[in-house]
Amino acid sequence: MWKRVLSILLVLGLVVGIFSGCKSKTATTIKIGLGMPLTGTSGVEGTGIARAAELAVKDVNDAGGINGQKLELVEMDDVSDPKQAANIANLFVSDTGIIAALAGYNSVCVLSAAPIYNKAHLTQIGVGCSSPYVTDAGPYTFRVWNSDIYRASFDLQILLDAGYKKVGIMYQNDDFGRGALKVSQDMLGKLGLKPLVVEGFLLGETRDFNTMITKMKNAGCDSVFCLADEGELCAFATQCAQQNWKPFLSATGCYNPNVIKLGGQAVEGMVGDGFWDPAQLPANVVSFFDRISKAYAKNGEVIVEDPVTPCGYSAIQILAAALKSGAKTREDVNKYLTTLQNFKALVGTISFDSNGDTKIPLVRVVIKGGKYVLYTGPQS
Amino acid sequence: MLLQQLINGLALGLIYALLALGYCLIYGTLSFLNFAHGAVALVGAYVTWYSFAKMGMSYLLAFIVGAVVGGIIGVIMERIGYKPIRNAPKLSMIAVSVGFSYILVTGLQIVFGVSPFRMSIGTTTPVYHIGSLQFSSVLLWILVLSVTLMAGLQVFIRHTKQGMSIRAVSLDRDTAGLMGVSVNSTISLTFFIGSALGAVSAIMMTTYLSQVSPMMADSIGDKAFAAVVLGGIGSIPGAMVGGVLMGIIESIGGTIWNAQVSGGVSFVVLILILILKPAGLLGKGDTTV
Repeated sequence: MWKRVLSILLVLGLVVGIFSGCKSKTATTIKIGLGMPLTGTSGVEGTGIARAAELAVKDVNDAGGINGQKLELVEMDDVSDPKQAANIANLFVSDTGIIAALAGYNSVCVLSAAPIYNKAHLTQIGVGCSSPYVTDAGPYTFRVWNSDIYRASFDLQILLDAGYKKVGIMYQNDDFGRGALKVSQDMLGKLGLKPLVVEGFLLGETRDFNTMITKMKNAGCDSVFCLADEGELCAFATQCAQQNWKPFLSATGCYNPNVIKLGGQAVEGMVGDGFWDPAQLPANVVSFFDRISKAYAKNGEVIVEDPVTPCGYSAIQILAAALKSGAKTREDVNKYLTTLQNFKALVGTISFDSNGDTKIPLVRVVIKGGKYVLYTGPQS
Repeated sequence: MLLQQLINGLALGLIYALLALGYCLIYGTLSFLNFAHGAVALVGAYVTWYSFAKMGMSYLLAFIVGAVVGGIIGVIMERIGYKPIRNAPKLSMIAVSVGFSYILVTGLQIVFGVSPFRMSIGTTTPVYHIGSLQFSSVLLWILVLSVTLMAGLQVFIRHTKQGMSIRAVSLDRDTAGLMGVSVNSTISLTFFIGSALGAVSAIMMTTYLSQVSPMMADSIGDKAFAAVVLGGIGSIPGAMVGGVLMGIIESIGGTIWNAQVSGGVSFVVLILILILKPAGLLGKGDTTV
């Protein structure tokens, strides 16, 4: 009998011991998802955004965090692949610890993942995604970048103001390129103009532009509006130079330090847009890039100012502000962003409209002498 | 314009032909398609770029270094990966070649990163005109070098002792060995020549396109494979014809439609030709890989 009593007491003791180890879990970090192209065709831009986001998170944590909790980035690589972006979205929405996501550089990736984020009511902020289609992606999708309705029009206007009318257009055949193409064609149409040649290419696959260049030359183009990022943009420019053809080039992807590195002499005179006069960057932007360089430049890497990276930092600033204002749930974060007006971010003053779009003022830039300078006209 | 596009297509086609020749030579000796061919070729292109852009070598010397290194890597791959499993089922060799391809491309990404680099011998290269036709220096150089190499290869295969050994091993490896041919050395030589040719074509392609990037390995390998199949597996003249045809069809496809479909058009033509002639244009019979 004593043995039976002892056995029961031992079992009770074990059970109590097991349950006494259970405490209610309190999260020590607030997680923000980061789904960007860390490798692949847009790896340079995506890595820049990730570094900026890491720096922003560090700044928040060094200043004490959010009500005693640290911010934590959960980074994943979408490789500029919309399928991968959707997979990442599914992972982020199913992680209840993630309160918002900085997700998508390529417009096609933002749009692929947007239905998932919107259905799960998880706020998604895109950086660098300029397609007009992102505007209608849903109430939980925002972007810290300009829509091509503004940006592509701005870059095309530079070409037109320089006096060029015989325009060829080369465009990346995805949501970004098709959206910007439509904006461009509509704009030219209103002026009674029509592009002489319009040719698409496949991101990451098309490298031979010689056929396209021969077509444009044959059609009499004196200028080309390029809706492309640095890889294809520089391949196009260099192959133009190999064929001894020097059209006036305006490109939405112009202001990217990799363009100068990759294109060399072939991209001299290329125009595009930026947020600031490259020779007179605001002090806080100069300081930001100094810090990025100190933290990440290795093996002789030189980090040059670009417009995308500060937007990554600004996106985290906005999310941190939402959390500091008392947002505790995904819905709270979304509500904060939906009503955000005149927020002073690194990249400038951000206000979101009802579609989650913002408008960051642009300036004209040109590549001259191997660096970016303000473009003041054909005499620049 | 069509004639100009044909010239553009011819230049590209000659590059594909050289790539396909390398594939074909290797297939001849071991009777399997080396799926690491594109990756080895790209390593040669990277070596050339690094030697030229970073080490300050002249382009010609960098070109030669890249081709030789590509050849050496091919030999090393053969010795450590394919030789031990020569008598194993062909599927094993194919699997090993896919593994090598992955290792080489991943190695390039780790060492050089995934971003492309500029591969340009100068931005103000002269351009020559014959009537309305235009020949850039790069285009002329590709035309001349490709034809020279192909002619040289034919002379080597037909009129030298080593070329005869390669042909003997391709016909019947065991009998060639019994007749006094050093089979191992001949296979290594074939891999050296085939891989070096692949590297030469990758160097020319990256110079023509003005960029080198790890992402090019797949398209280089795919083009070489398609050219070999189109021309007829195992046929050296077939590889040349297949490569040139592919380049021209791509260029015509790009002219009539656009650059996006140009690659696809050549594969559509490949399928149609194979339906009519499964052994390829100049292929003769056994198409097992």
